[in-house]
Amino acid sequence: MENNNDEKVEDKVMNVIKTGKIKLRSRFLFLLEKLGIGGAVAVFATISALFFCLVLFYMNATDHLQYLNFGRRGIFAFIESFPFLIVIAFIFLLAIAGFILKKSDFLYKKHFGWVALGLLGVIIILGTGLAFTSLSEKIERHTFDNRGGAMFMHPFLDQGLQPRSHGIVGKISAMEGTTLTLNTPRGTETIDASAINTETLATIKIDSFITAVGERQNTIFKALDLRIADENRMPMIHRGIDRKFPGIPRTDARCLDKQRECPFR
Amino acid sequence: MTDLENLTDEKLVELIRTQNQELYSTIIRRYQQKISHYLRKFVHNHDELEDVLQDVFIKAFRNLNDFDKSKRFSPWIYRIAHNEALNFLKKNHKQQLSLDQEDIQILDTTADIKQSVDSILNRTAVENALSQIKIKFQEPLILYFFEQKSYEEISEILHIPTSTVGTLISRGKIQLKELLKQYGKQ
Repeated sequence: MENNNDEKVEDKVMNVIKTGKIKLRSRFLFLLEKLGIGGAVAVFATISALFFCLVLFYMNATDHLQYLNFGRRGIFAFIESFPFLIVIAFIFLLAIAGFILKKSDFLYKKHFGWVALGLLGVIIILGTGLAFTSLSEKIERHTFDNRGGAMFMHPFLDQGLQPRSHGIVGKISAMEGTTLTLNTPRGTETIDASAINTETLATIKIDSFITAVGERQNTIFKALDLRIADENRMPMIHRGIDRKFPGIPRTDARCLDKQRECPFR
Repeated sequence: MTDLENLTDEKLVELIRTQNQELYSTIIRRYQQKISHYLRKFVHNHDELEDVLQDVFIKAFRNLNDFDKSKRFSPWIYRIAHNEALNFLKKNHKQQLSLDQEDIQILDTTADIKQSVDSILNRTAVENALSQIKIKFQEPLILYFFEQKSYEEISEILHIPTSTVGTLISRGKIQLKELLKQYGKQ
């Protein structure tokens, strides 16, 4: 019985081979498949590195890290301004690259954990390397100028300029007692600085670039703590203000020197 | 004919790829019983088993050009059989394993579970216990105990490091013993 079945399977398989119903897949197809898989991993890993670079850029160019200077009071603003979307995109792309790698023959008899760690290392190094170039600034400029393919980056970068419930950054354009008018990337905003001590308020003048933590109450931001900030440490915020209020003179050293590339031009 | 029988699988595959595709029948004859024995653990129905077996040989033939002749053919075709078995289980939502008496005897003598389970070592209990173990432990246990594959071969079939094979077999064995003890108490 067993032998009969054996012959049956052999006959059936050989029959479809002999009649040409199934053919050997060409070596070229396998090569193409491997190149395709390798290419897909490379593409996803590169985009993932780009997003890692954007995470670094975002943290460096927005108010996000500045809120840590306020201690516990700045925690909410810090969490609020965290680039969740960019980080999620980075992890998602990394996971896709890892998944493709796992499904490919590249992992043959290798520990996935080590390979994944290697992939993460390469992506972080590449992303950090990209952070030293002006790529992120170019992406930002193209995004907010709505130029080319960078437009789809809006959801990721907009968060850097969006209003926050517990923090605010901007340039003072008017002062009236403890009420400050602030130029921000979204337009002018009013700050109630009545809770700020007079010594700190005395150091503030028009054109000061400030960071404040507190609470948004309808159209007014009630500041609980306030610091004068270095405008060049938050270039993305400053460029946002420039776009909203053109003509504000730049103090960035790179912009004063005509020989150098000014990221704000 | 005798020459053909003396050829290694790898050389035979090279001949099939470059000269004569009809030589593939020799490969089928060499592996049919082994693969069928392996698949029987997952596919119980005779007709379904025949279909899966056919699919394995057809898939292996179509992908012969993907076989790296510097490696061994046996793990390569077992890998295809393994994937087909998993596809079958997924498609049919089946998990229950099926063993024959010969398998039980092999397990009895090689897996060192007799001492702990002794009287309850009957076919149904082992089948049920094995079926309850996670597939990642189940696969190396089956290949090691029932298919008599070495760690190296299992590593090639499952595409996992040899050290991991050892760990999975050892953990799988512990789980199997625990489950069989539970069956013994019932």
